[in-house]
Amino acid sequence: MGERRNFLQSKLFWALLVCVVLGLAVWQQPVFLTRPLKIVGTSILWPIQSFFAPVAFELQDMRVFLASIGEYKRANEDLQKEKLALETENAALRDMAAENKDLRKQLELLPRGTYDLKSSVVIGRDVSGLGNWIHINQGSNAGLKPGMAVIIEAGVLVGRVDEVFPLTARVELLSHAESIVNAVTLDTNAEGIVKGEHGLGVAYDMVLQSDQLKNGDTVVTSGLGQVIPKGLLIGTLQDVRLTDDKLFQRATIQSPVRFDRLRNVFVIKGEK
Amino acid sequence: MKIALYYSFLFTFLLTTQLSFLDIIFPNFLVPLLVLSAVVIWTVSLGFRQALWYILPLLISYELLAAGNIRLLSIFGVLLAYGTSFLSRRMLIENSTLASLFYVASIMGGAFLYQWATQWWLLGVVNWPSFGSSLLQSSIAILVFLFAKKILFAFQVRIDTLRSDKALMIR
Repeated sequence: MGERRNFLQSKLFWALLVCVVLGLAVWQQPVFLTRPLKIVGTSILWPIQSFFAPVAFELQDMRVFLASIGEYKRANEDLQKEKLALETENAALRDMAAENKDLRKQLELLPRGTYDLKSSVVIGRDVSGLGNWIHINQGSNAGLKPGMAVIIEAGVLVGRVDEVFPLTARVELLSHAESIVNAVTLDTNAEGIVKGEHGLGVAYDMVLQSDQLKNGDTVVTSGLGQVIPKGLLIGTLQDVRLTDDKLFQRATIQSPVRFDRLRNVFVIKGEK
Repeated sequence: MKIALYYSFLFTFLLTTQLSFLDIIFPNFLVPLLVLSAVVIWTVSLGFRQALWYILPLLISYELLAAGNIRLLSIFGVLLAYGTSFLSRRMLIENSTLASLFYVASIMGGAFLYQWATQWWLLGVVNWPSFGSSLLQSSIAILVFLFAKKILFAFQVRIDTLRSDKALMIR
């Protein structure tokens, strides 16, 4: 009896008891309890996060700058060469843009990029699950809803709104394991899905063997499902291979965005 | 009421510093160092059972605000607190520098274990960190630990003063 009472008062018993209760919470996820806590928590933290995050971004920039100072000289030389090539390409593109504008006018198509955007600042990040979420300083008060696409200014998709609170929202990045986006390649028109790889990158998956995939091809959103608009850039293909079960093709996507350095993003609320 | 407000302020400060400061500057650490430091410091200064009252709300709030649901970090934090309490009772260290090093080693040990467990759980493989990144993370962990220790000890002194004031008023 005494031993039993001793065990019930021991630290091990309390540790096990708390772990079991937490284990049940992890398994069941009591949303009716956690949702009010999240709303209160995000509302309290929002003004302080809005102050802390810009300071942290400046410090991060400084850290990155100091770490890469030796690489800048070589990068500068490479950029000079790239600049020349881009100037040539730019001249050709300007001609094509004018032609495109005329054709769109004739076909009465809406110009690209006419989205109702809400600009947002990243005010927080989650690193403990391999870095798959960011927190932004706009929420349901600004008209944000779960599922809306999140881009950076050049029209590059970075994720979608996962959960909204009155003043903030949590964005699930493309690299999140549960993130799935319908996409298509520009050159070969091969349809597939873009899947996150636990914060380590993004993959292009479930592409039929009859479709052609090639390295360097650009992947854009296909607009299937109508939640995420069509034509948003996701990245370029690398390392095309067959899936383990040999049924589909799969490739790694090289994203033009560093997910760990996102600072300003735009949420697509709809089309104008 | 005043004590509860102080606690809310402390929790807000710890969570904001972790989510909007450390996680932004060091996005590749994969582990909330300040939260784990607070877990270890509370366990050492208050004892395991008393510390649970602070550790659990902090871990659960961090999980809810960072990821939107309760994950394995909460369970891991409790196990880390138990492990620290277990070891600290068996390794009584008189020298404060050595004691601090032991606590930082606990945090780093916990941090690496959590990283490996997370990778193994999510990816099925463990990517061993390079020596350079481990060294950087350990150095940052020491700084974060010292910072957290100063804040939490100052806070505890303030709370003790408030409690004694309250006791005097009752008399």
